[in-house]
Order: sequence, then structure tokens, then C-alpha cells
Amino acid sequence: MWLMSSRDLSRCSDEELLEIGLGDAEALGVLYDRYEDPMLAFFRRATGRADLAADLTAEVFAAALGSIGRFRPDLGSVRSWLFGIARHELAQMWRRRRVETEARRRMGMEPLMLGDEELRRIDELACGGEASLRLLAELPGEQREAVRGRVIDERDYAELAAELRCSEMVVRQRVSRGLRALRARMGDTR
Amino acid sequence: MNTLPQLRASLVAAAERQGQSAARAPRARRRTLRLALVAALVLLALAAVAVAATGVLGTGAPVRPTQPLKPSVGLGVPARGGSRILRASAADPAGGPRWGLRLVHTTRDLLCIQLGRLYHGQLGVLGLDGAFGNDRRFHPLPPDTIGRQPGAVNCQPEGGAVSLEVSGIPESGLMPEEGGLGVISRDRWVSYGLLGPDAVSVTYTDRGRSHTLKVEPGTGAYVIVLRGIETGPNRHGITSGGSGGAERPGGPPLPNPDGAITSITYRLDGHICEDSVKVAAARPCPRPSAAVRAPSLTPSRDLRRPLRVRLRRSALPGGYSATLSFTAPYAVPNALSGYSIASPSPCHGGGTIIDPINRDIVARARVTVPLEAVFANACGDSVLLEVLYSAAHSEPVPGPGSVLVGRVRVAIPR
Repeated sequence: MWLMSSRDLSRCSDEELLEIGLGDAEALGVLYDRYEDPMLAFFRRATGRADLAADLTAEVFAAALGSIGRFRPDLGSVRSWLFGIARHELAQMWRRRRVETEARRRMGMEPLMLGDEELRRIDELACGGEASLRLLAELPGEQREAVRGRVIDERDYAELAAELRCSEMVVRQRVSRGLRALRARMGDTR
Repeated sequence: MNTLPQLRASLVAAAERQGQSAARAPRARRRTLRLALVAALVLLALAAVAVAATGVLGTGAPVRPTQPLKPSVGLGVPARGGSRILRASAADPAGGPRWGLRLVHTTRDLLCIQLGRLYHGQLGVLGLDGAFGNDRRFHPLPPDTIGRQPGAVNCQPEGGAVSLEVSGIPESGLMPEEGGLGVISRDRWVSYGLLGPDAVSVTYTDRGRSHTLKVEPGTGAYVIVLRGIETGPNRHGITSGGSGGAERPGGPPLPNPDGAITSITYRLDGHICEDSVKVAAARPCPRPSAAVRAPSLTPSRDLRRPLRVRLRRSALPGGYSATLSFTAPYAVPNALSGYSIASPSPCHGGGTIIDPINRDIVARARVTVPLEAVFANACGDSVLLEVLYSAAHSEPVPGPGSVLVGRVRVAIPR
């Protein structure tokens, strides 16, 4: 049996939190704490709307909770798994023009009530990236695709390598060079 | 501090409920399950040997539609005598039944192309990778399942052409259910399409080698099945192109730059030409002289119809649901035209929520549409609702190609 305080949980890896999550629900709370803001920012950038970002984030965590037993660490990290679900939810939303609620309904989760303060905070999470996005557009094509895939779309190196039809090492180099160029250009603009 | 503390609390509470229900599972049941699992594994092993040795599969229950189709709603239902298996087929990289295609004409004048595994002249799926309890049987896919296989079905207006590249199709051929993340051990990358009577062949690359495949004469149908490239946790991400991004208005589809197909060869007016992903193709096909435009509709003076909205208290976010009603100025006899309700949001970065009214409508009929969480898209004290009509197959969205039937601003009751 797992008996851990929340302080202990904060030292657990993502995989450990997921493993003990059904025995100790607070472990999933700690995992949520780690990915709440990146997930909200990801969806806010993708949809341009804070309310949709909140709804989609809720659906991702509900879907993750419903399929914890199917997570396979040999296929990738918890981060990749969560953002894989996120991209799936996003694709579903574009296709159906609405945010799915099936996972939340299955898990018996209450509908979210969003106030102006929550929406403003979600907007702020994504706002810092807008200047970077403008600079990103100026990078050479290969670097731009690699940085976008890795940093904005939160995808794995292996997955990007397959899509870009090159090795993981090459993708890492492109991301590294692209980020270095972005840092240099951001320095120029300040 | 969390941005959405309510969501965190709701998630933790749901996890607690999940944990409690798992703990309640009686031990005896687990023992029974274990025995059943051992028995199933033995049967599976025997079935696998039988398939490998003889190529004979048992036939199991047919795939059921997720929701019953209706003749005048959405895709419609398969028209009587309007379905047939095409000759185009492809081997699977791991062997077993070939992959094939079926054409399904629907009562809403759509032509759907449906992908699946072929066995004894039937289209179906296999009991693999979690599908049908891994029974390794063949399960027929009736034509009325066109609504449940996203990625493995594409519906277009009749006479249209389409070229699709889809990743994440399970080896079984059965697409994961909505929101389902089943364990899929072997995905496929499938290119398939219907290129029309002028198409001659498609050229594609597989592991760096180029291959050319003749398409089915008359229909231009083809199917290519490759090993999946998404082996990570994102394997369920279905990417497709052709019907949307790579389609050329007024002409046949262009190859998708992100797909396996590198060129499509056509015979136009007796001359061979090709559409290629390369910028400088040797024999490029002529571009259509004029793009097909959605019929131009200018709203007449009496087109604008008053919209009526009736609000109801609701437990949903937004506090109210509503019914919106209007008198339809145009008939919608099939899926090639339609109305939608748009709710533009001037705040939170803009954007517009579009709810298509995806059904046949008689001209001058009174149309009533339920709206859930009507104020979910509101930015202040009110929400704007618009009814749009388009004579094109795509969902009516604000802008050219659609006309505004009516507009109403609804205030949040105080």
C-alpha cells in the first residue's frame, strides 16, 4: 500500500504519480499541478480562446484518468502521453466544432464554472509567447518546424524525426539552433 | 496556486471514486477473470495457428453503428442498392486479409468511401488489438457503419474526388471509439482515395523507395497500406489530408505534401500529365481555368427572417439553454446545402462557434433548434446569434459563400 504525504509526492516522477494515482488520488492532483499551466497555454495558443482552453484541459485530464491503466512507459513519457491526448482532443474539437464532454461525463466530473479572473489568467499564460511566435516565423524552415513541433506542440523527438524524415539527433540540433537564434533575436528586440 | 482550482478538486474527487470502485472488485471475480484470461490466451494461440496455417478466419458479429443513421439527417442512410465493393485492394504488411474499399451512396446525395479488411468479398474488421476481445475473427462492416469510423470513411458530394493520407489506423481496421485509447500494437499508414475517371496511377515512397500503382479504371480508386510511423503514445492522432487541405478547387485532388504519395498521373484530353509534390514536375497537369465557386447568393430584401429565442434555466455552464426558431427561406433537400447557427465571440481572442443544422429542411418550414449553454460564448451581458445559409456542401460560416438569414442579440436575464 502506498502511504505518502503530499510533500513526498512532490518528489515522485510523473510515472510514479500515475502509478499510485488510483490508490492515492492526491498523486493525480500533484500531476495536475505540474501540467495544468502548460496544458492551458497549449490550448489557448491553439484555439485563441481561454474558455475553450479550460474546457479542453478538463477533458484531457478526465480522459487521462479514465485510461491510466493503459499508459505504457515503454512508449513514451507521461508528458508525451498527456499531450498526445491533448492533440487528439483538439483534432476532435476542430472536426466537430465543439469540445467533447464524454470523458468528464464518464468520470462524473462537474462542469467548469469560469469567471473573468480565471479567463484572464489563462490569457496571460499564452500572451508571453506571442512575441516569440512572431520571431519563430522568421527562422529558416527546418528550424522553425522543429522548434514549433517540440516547444509549441509539445511533441517527442522520435515522433518529429519520423514526420520530418530525419534522425532524432538532427531534430535535436535544429531545435537547439532554432532556440539559440530565437534567444539572440529576442535580445535584439529588447 | 492553481489557475483552475475547481478542476483540480474535481479531478482528485473523480480519482478517489475510481480508486474506491477498483478496490471493491471482489477477489473471487478476479480469480474467475484470471482463469478466463488463461483460457482465452490458449484459444487465441490456437486461432492464430489456424489462421497462419490455412488463412481461414471465423466470422464474428458484424460491427454495429454507434448511432442509428437517419435518412434526412447528417450523412443520411445508405441508398438501396447504392453500395459496392471496389476492385482496388492492398496487402497488409503483416499479411492476413487484404485492405479494400467500398462505395456507399447515401440518401442525402453523398458518396462515401469506406476502408476496411476484405474477406470472402465482404468489407470488415479483424478482432485484433483489443477489437472484439481479440477473438481474431472477421467482423463484417455493414454500410450503415459509415458514421462510426472517422478516418476510415470519407463522404463527399457525388462526382467529387478525394485523396486521403491517414495515420493511426489500427491493424484490425476498427477505428478507436471516441475518446478511447486502446492498446494498439501495430498501426498502419493508409493512403486511399477516389481520383475520378481521368486518373491513371499514383506514385508513393515507402522507406525511401518509389513505387507506382495503377488506379482502378473508371473510378480512380486506390489503396496503399504501409507500416505506421507513429509508434509512440500519439499513435491515435489521425492526420488526413486530401479532402480538405490538399484539394484543388475545381480540379482533382493534389497529393498531400505530408503524405506517402509523391505524384498522381492523369490522362487529360489524351495527354499524360502529373500532379506532383515537387515544385517543378516534368509534365504538370494544367490548373483548372476557373475555380469552382460556391453559388453566389445575394440576400433579397425579404430574406432576413426574425429569429425567436426562448430561454430555459439550465444546470449547464452558462446557466441557460435555449431554443432558437426561424422560418427557412430556402429548402435543404440534401447534404449539399444547409443552415448553421453562428455565435461570434468578440472577446477572448475572437472566434466563432458554429453549430450546423445538419438535416433536410422544407422551404418556409419553421425550424427549431435546441442550444445548450447559450451564454457560454458571451463576453458581457449578451450573446449574438446568427442563422446562416450556404448552398455549398461545407458548413455555412460567416463570409462569402453564405448568407445571413437572421441575427438576434440575447441578453442574460438579471
